Amino acid sequence: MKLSYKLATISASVFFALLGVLFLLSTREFPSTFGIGPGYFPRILSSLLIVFSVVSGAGELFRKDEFIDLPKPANIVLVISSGVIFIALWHFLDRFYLSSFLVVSIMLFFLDPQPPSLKKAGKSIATGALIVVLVYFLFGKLLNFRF
Amino acid sequence: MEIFSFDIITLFTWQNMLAIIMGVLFGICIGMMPGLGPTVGVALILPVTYTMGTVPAILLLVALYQAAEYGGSISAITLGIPGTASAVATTLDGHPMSKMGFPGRALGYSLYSSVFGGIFGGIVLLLLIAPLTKIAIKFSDPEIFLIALLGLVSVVGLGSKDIPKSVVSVLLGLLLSTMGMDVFTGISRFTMDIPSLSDGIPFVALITGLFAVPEVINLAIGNLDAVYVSDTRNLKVSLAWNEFKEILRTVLKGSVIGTIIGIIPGVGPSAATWISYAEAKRVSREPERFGKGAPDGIAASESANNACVGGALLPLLSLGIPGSGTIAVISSAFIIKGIQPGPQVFQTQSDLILGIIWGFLLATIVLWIVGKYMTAFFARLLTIPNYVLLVIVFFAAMIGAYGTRYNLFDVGVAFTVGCIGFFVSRLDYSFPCFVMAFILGKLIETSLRRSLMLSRGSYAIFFTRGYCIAILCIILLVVSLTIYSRVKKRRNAGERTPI
Repeated sequence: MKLSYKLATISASVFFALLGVLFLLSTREFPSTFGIGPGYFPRILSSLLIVFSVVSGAGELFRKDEFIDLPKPANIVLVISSGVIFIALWHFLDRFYLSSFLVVSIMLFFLDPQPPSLKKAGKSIATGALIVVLVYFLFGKLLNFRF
Repeated sequence: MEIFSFDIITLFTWQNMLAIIMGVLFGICIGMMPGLGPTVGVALILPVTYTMGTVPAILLLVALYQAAEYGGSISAITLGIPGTASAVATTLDGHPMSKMGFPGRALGYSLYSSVFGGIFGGIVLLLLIAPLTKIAIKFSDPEIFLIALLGLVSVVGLGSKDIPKSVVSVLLGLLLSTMGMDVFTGISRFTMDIPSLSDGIPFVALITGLFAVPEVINLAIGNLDAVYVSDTRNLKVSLAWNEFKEILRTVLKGSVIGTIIGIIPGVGPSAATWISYAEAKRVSREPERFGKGAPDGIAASESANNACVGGALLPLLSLGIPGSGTIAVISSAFIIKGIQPGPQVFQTQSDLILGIIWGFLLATIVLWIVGKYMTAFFARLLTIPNYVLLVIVFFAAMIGAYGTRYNLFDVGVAFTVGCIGFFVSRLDYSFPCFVMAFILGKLIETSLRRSLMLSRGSYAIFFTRGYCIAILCIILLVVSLTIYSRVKKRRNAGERTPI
C-alpha cells in the first residue's frame, strides 16, 4: 500500500491545527490572575501550534510529492485490531491472563508466515501459553503486579 | 574534591549489582535485535523500576543504555545488520572482518572500544558534574526557563529532518504536558472530566506506547520470515594487548568526539559514530582498508557511541535537561521517584547523583565481563523469529503501561498513542522532540509563569540578567547555525530538501 506523503502531511497538519484550535477555545474557560493564569501558557502554545501546523502544511504544497510505502497492510490491521480486542477482552472479562493468552495465540498464528495447519495452531497455542506463563512469573509473582 | 567523597563500597549492595547485571544483560539483548534500540529497551523496562529504590532503578536504565550501544554491534558484526542506528558505521568494517573468519576479534575490537569509550564518558561526567552544577545552582526561574528552551531549540535545530514538523512535535509535547491539574491554581485543564486524566496524560504509558507500538508495527510489516542465523563458531571475544594498542589512538579520539557530541542536546550517538569514523579514516595511514575490515573503523564508531552515553547524562544530571529521547525516558524514572533532575538534586542529594555516576562506571566494567564471556551466547538469541519477538515486545509495552497505576485506561492511552505514532513517524515528525517537550513541559511552564509573576508580566526579566543574556546568546547561536546549515544544504543539493 502506498500513501501520498504530501496528502498525509497536509491531513496531519490540519489535524494538529484543529487540535490547537480546540485547546485554544478550551482556555477561555480558565480564570485569569494578573493575566498569567492557568490558560496563559496553553494559549501561547496552541496559537503557535496553529501557526506552525499551517506553515508545515502550506510548505508541503510546494514540494514534489513522494510516496510512503506501507507493505503488508493486513498485518498493520492485525496488530491494531489485536490491541483493540485485547483491551476490550481485558475490560469486559476482567481476566488479564486469559485475554493475553487468547490474543497472543491469535497474533502468533496469523503472523507466523508458515501456511495454516494444525501443527502451526498447536505451535501458536504452546508459544502463547509459554509467554503468558513467563509474564505470570516475572510480573505477577516476581514484581507483584496486580492484574 | 567532592566526587571522591562518595563511599564506593555503598554501591555494592545486592540490589544495585542485580540492577546493573540485569540492565547489561537486557541492554545487550535489546541492542542486538535489529529494529529495537536503547530507547525502546529503556521504555520497556521502566515498569520494573517502580518497586526499586532510586539508585538501582536509574542504574538499571543507564546500564541498559550503555550495554545496548555495544549490543548493536553484535548483529552488525555477525549478521551485517546493525542492531541500533549508532552501529551502522560498525557494520562497514565489523562485518567484513567477521566474513574473513574473525568475528571474535571484531567483537573484541567492538567490546574493548565500547568499554573504553564508556569509561571515558563516565570519567568526564564525574569531573564536570560538580563545576557545572555550581554554576547551575545560581540559576533561578528565568534561567531555568531559558536553559530548558535551549535544550528544546538544540534538539529541534540539530537533530531534526524537517524543522516545522519538529517545532509542531515540540508544541504538541508541551501542550499535552499542560493537561491535568494546574500546580498554581489547582484548576483541572483539558481533562474532559475523565478522572484518570486528573494528573495529566500518564507519561510512562505515553512513552512505552510511543516507542514500542510503532516498532511492533514496523516489525509486523517487515520480513517476518527473518530468522537471523549466524555462524556461531569463532565468536569467542578476544583481543590481545598488542592489537588493542594499535587502535588506542582511534579509541581515545572516538571517546573525546563521542563525549562532546553526547553533551550537546539533540545530536546523538549516530552522528558521533560517523564523525569519529570519518576522522579515523582521514588520519589513517591506510584509508583504503576502511570498509574492508579495518580495526580502526570498528574502534572509532564503537568508542564514540558508548562515550556519548556518559556525555548525554551530563546535561540531565547537572541541568535537568535530557539531551535525547533515551535520556528523556531515563529522566522519567527520576520523576516516577518524585525527583525532578537538576542542580538542586546534586546539592541536596549528592550521594544519589555520585552513586549513579560511579554505578555507571561499574556498569561499564560489568559490560566488559558480560560481553567478554557471554557474547557468543547472545549471538545465538538472534535466532528468535521476528513474529515471536514482536508479540513479546507488544505485550511487554502494554504491561508496562498498565503497571504504573494499575489502570486499564493507561493501556488504552499507550496503544492509541502508539498507533498514531506509527503513522506520524512516517511523516518525519520527531519523537525525541515530542518526548523531551512533554517531560520538560511542567518545568518550562512553572518557571515561565513564576518569572512573569516576579516581573509583573514583563518579558524584560529574560533580557536583563547576566546568565539569561549568556543563555540567550547560546540560543541565538544554535538558531543561526541551524539556519546557516540548512541554507547551505539547500544550496548544495537540488534534491527535495525540507526547510
